[in-house]
Amino acid sequence: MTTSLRARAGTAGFLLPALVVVAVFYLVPNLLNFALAFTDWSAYKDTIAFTGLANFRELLQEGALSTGLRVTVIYAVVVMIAQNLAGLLLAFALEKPSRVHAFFRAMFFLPVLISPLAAGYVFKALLADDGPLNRAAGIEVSWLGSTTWTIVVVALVNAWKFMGVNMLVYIAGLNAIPGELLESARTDGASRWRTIRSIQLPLLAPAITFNFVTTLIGAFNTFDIVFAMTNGGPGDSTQVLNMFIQQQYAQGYYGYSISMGLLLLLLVCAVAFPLLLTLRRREVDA
Amino acid sequence: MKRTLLSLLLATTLLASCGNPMAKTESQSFPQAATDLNGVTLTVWQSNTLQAGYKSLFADFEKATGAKIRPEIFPDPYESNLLTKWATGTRPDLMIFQSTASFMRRLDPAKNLYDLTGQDFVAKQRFGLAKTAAVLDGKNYGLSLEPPSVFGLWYNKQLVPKPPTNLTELVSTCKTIKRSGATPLYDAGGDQWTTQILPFMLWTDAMKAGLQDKLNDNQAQWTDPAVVDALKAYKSLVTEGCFNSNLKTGTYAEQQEKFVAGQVAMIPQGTWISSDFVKSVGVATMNQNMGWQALSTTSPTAAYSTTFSVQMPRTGNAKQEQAAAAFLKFASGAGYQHFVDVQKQAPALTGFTTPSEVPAATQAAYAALESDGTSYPQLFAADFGPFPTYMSKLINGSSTPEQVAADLQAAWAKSAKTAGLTGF
Repeated sequence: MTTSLRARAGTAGFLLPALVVVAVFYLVPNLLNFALAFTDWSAYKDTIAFTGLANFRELLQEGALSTGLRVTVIYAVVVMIAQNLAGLLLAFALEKPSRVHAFFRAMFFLPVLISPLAAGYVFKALLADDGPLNRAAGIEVSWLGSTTWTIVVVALVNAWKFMGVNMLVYIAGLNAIPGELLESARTDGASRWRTIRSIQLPLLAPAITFNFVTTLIGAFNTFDIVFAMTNGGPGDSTQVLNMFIQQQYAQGYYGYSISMGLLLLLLVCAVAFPLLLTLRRREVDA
Repeated sequence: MKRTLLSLLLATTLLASCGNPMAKTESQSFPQAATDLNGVTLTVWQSNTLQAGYKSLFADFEKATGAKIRPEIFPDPYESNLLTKWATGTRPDLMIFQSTASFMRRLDPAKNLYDLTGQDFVAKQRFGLAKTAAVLDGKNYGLSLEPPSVFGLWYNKQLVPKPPTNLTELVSTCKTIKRSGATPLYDAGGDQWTTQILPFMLWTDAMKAGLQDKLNDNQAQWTDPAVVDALKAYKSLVTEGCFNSNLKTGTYAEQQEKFVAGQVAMIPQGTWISSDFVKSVGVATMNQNMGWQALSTTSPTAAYSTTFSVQMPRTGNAKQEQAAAAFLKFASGAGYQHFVDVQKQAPALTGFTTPSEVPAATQAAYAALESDGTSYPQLFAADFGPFPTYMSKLINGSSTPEQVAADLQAAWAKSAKTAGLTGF
């Protein structure tokens, strides 16, 4: 066996357990699940029959799907921008290792550990019409009663809850930048802003790629925070696709709801892969 | 690519030939109730909203028979959570589930549940439950231990000396109360589900007069003027400022709180709210301050919304099924009076006495139901979609009453078609 073959066999040996786990617990169940998207499986029938693209045709005819898609995309974009911006600002503020910074890093990471449902219910109470926020500020804003802006409010709560993860990834990225680069920039008289713009941000590109893509995927798959804060309301203005899927499943339309799940997966892929490729092209080596 | 598609097709075909895990075909007669139950453990699926009576009933049964009961509690929305597990083919020994026809249909009861028609306890059911609760295609599949929840108008006796009995009176009462500075009506648009109740109440007259039968037979549609007019009436009450100012975001908890505090004159609610009021203010204060009135568009007709019933799935395990049958016998016989006393509710079976702790308002609701009420919300043949969401859109101005009616009809047609109802 050549060295190259031995190396390949070694790599395969390391990969195999992970591949088996992914295949058994993710890939195969999902493939079997998505096969059901092409059936009429429902709570009302004894049999499951192959119906081709009937579920998808019905989906396209229903207005609720377009509403769900629009809401989900708006939600995901707001979360992606807000969560990354907040995470990045926090990372620059708390970049250097110190006890004070370690304390604040822990504080900003704390919301990540809270249950999304609990966070949603807490904010629902805080943002109630006669809740603590309005009373403290002496204002009368219906934060959760607007068919236009409530989706943004809920997305910002999501960003608040998970910005700690982005912060940590950005801090790790900043700390991986070679110190001599920053030092030579300082020696050359570069300002703080110039250093960030010309050195830190370009070298942070892998972290940016990771954070943007994972945030986007997470936001597309949201359910719990929205469920707790608005239950999809007012009206259906915050009814993200997963809530619509759950609603259809609860009504016993199993095949139909699975077809929506498949559509959501395709949507995530359609948005995430181009984003991933675009961001990867921007990455540079130190 | 071709191989992938072929694999998918193969998987689909295999699944299709496997059949639905819900399906099960058995035809045994109702099992004899067992007498020696030592060593038997019965699994009971139930909602997390069941009150203390069930816990004491289970304990009494365990003490009397030596059997063990293992409750499996489903969180809200328990109906869909329970159906999700049901869809996997898992079966409990007993389940305390919704008794509406459309929910029963999803269980395919003719194959999956024991038919209880003809059992002694079915004949003893009050409030017409034997003919309306857990009934599908003329067969009875459930034992209702609780009286049904009745839709109606809870009112504050000080703020509303003469409660309205129809829509015209409701509108004028609203104007009078508004002038006094109090909030006439409270609905919880934030939680959404409470907003269905007033339309349901307003539909009662038309549904009782035959609209429901026509809907079930596809001889009428949800866009019927009676349905639309009730939705228009609700919207008009919103426009006239009869509801709480935070209607869009109000919650069920706040609805209770404001009503108990005397800040709200009337709330459209089910009698399920009674136990919460008993806990918060006690029966004496309730009797002093709170009244209950049946109300529909033109008459004071009560409609019961829904009720739990105990159903017995076919598990294929004779010993377990005999123990489950023993539980039904005990629950409707030797153990029932204690259940009623702990629940502090009127009995749903004849031959038992109503505890003294049942508030007068709740008793008024049961009396209205027994005298001239209807159980129409139980008897829809199919589903009409997420009605609370449609109502929320109406309240927020993103749907008109006509659009809500059209949404109800679209969901109804889809559900009826999926269920394979004749005439659709």
